[in-house]
Amino acid sequence: MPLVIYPAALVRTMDPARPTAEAVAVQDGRVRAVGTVQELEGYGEHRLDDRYTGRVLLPGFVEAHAHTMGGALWRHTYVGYDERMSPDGRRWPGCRTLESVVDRLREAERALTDPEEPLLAWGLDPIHFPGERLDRRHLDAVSVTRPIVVVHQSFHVSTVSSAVLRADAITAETRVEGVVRDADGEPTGELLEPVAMGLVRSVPTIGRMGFDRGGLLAFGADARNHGITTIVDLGNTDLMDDEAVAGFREVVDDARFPARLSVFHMGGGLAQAVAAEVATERLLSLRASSSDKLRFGHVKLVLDGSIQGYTARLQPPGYLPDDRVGIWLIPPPVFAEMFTTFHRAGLTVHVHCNGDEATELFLDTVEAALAAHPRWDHRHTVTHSQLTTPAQYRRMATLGMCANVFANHLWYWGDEHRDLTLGPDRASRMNAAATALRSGVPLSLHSDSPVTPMDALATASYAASRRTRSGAVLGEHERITVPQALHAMTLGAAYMLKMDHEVGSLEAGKLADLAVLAEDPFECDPDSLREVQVVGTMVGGEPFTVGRDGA
Amino acid sequence: MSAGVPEPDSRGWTVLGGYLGAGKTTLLNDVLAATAGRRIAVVVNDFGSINVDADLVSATGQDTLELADGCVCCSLSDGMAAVLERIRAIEPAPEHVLVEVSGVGDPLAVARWGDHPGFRRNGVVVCADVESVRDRARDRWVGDTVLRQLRGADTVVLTRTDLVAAHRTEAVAAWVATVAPHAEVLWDRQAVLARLEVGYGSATPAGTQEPDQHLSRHRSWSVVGPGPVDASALVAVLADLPPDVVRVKGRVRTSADPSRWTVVQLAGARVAYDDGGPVAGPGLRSSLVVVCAGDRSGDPPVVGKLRGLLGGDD
Ligand SMILES: Nc1nc2c(ncn2[C@@H]2O[C@H](COP(=O)(O)OP(=O)(O)O)[C@@H](O)[C@H]2O)c(=O)[nH]1
Ligand SMILES: [Mg+2]
Ligand SMILES: [Zn+2]
Ligand SMILES: [Zn+2]
Repeated sequence: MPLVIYPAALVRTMDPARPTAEAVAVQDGRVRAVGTVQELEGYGEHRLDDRYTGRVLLPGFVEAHAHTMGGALWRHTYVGYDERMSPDGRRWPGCRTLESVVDRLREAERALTDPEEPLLAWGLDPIHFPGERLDRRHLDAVSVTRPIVVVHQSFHVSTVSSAVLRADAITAETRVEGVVRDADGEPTGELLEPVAMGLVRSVPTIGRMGFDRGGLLAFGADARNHGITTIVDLGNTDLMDDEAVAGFREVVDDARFPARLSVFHMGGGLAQAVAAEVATERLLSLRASSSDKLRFGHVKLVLDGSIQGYTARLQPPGYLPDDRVGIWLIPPPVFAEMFTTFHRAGLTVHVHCNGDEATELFLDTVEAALAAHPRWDHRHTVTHSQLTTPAQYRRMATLGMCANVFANHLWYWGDEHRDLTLGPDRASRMNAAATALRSGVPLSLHSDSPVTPMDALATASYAASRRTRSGAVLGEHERITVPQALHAMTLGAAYMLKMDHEVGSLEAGKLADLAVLAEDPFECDPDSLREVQVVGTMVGGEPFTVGRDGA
Repeated sequence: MSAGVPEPDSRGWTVLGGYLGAGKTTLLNDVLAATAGRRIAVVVNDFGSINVDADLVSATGQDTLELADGCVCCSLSDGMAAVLERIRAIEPAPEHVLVEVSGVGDPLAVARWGDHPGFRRNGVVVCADVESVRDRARDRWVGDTVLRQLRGADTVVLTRTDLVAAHRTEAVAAWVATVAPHAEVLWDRQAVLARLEVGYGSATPAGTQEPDQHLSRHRSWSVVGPGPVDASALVAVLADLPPDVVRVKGRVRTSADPSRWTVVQLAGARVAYDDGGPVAGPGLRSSLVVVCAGDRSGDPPVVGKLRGLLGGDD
């Protein structure tokens, strides 16, 4: 294969030994060299490709905590407050009023040809409409006959139309807790929490965590649109199933799929998990069967809930309003057993810990496992790590652990954490990326799509600015620099996936994965970083354009 | 069943909670053994291997379902809706559903699913291991979880009482009464089984019972025997109950038709006798549970009379 030289306005390599360059030379899907064009022409027979003239090239971004469900959602109508780009590259302006929500639904309703087909929408965040509440009357104005379900951004509330209430016999007599009622005792259409949401049987639910071909294709396209070339499905429930694994291979190994994908096994806390011993054996053989683009072998465990749901496990002084302390998703002794089994087998485990007590349990467990079964370079990772304390970060450094911090929370829920869940002190300390770096803990940042949108530059921007929606800076001393944030979204994330020798920086011999940007993000201030336009990506030498090529 | 058609609230929904190792699965298996031949669906939401006795479950035609999937943001399980749908599809419909909640799950939260169409919310039964529950309740990691489970219970079943002296069991029972003053505390295994066997509790959702049941302490006795029972003598005994007897429930084979069950239930001031279907196999015993209000020490006279009638071995 001939050498192809891509000149650019600037190449930011993330390799401190050669931080910038003029051009990248690619051969056989790998970086042959970075340097000046003149230098690169010295590597033998070559072709100049000027498609990136005027662009800024970075290593492709790495999103180390997302779910394929984030792609699947785009099958349905987006009615969120912020502008978003769907995987097909279309821009969906934010719905800034309830009227615009209804207008968006009308438009989607007109596009449906089958009158029986339900209309599902997602992304509604009622926090932006104080004093108003979307209810069945809004939805009935869209259609009185078609079933309509709007799932809120929290995924813990939905609003349904009268057609749905009728079809599922949800009436004034329904006893189930969480059915919101009007003054006459009639359901308003709003259903709170899974027990009430589960009353809707006539319309399918909006996503699951198993293998989903269409969702996966959209997930890849979503990554491409945001300059992400390596994504993680953080916790799939179907990896014991040959058919699902074959499905992954068929989709991801296809040259048209625009990303590498690391599929973690959901080892416990969510699904009725298979025994860790059984899963381990399977994962070792799946890991050996990984391809350049599709990786298996890592494990996800879930220890606690969420801060905004008051279900994350907190150490004293706990939550701001009352004495709730959260819930465990796995009994601590079972967690220790599962973790130790995976650890002994040489697997890397990422553990969902939103609260600091969850982190504490994880660290105690890792410490005990390491004492019993010493192991170097395990890269066990605290994922979310939202309330991990400075002392815990110091321990993590000693234990050889990594942190994948949920920076998007600062923007999306920072105001609530300051005012409602934690108070200003601990809200200012949450998602402590600067403390992680000061302690020497390898750092990444994530979106947890679909919980928040997958957008690497935005995630980096939130960690660097720590600005909330209201405009306040939440904890100025935990801000990191733009280059640090971009490092976290490239090499930092690659490291905790054990892929940093292959992706995350542009170095000779590494995979030719690029993010193609319209300007230099290093020159941006933290807030404008998220405005930088992504033009496309390259994955293993294959170019992709935002909204177009590939899946 | 198609959506929109009202369904009979036929399937009792009983939730078994309690910390890891508290004896939930053991109790579940005991119930399944004691109810062999009856249609009971089992839902397990446990970690690692499923230790419900699989042979037992399949041998009696009972269905075991696993609870899977959950919420992406906080991982709270919302796979229960799918489980309910699968139970609705089981033909013939199970009479009861027993749900074993994970050792850190909140059984009261799971009980709420019993308000869904097609189900009838029964009680929350929480197992507590007499040897360890008080330490667990002080445990750094799970103390609050264990206390929350106990506070959500309608009935607390003390387990592993065979391993400790009676006074220790009594002491734990007294402690449970301070943690969960609304709950009934049982440990006699036959009484527990009889209670669960006949369809735990009443159709009344937790929290809506008469206030006196809330505030007072209850004790229960179970009477089990090979039968058949003299029908008119049984009616005579149960026609004359003292006011502290708040519940009598069970099923018996009577001399009138030993091939069929008679379901006995004290509802309000009246005892109802209903046909309970054919007796599915040999060796199935009649069983009745009697619940009295107050801290009675000895057996109430009615229990002695029933023992005589059932030929009780207990
Ligand atoms: N001696 C004794 N052992 C019990 C009793 N109940 C449960 N066990 C044992 O305790 C262990 C845990 O019981 P299991 O039912 O699996 O607990 P679960 O985790 O709550 O389902 C098992 O080894 C049981 O055999 C009991 O009443 N007495
Ligand atoms: Mg069990
Ligand atoms: Zn997640
Ligand atoms: Zn959630």
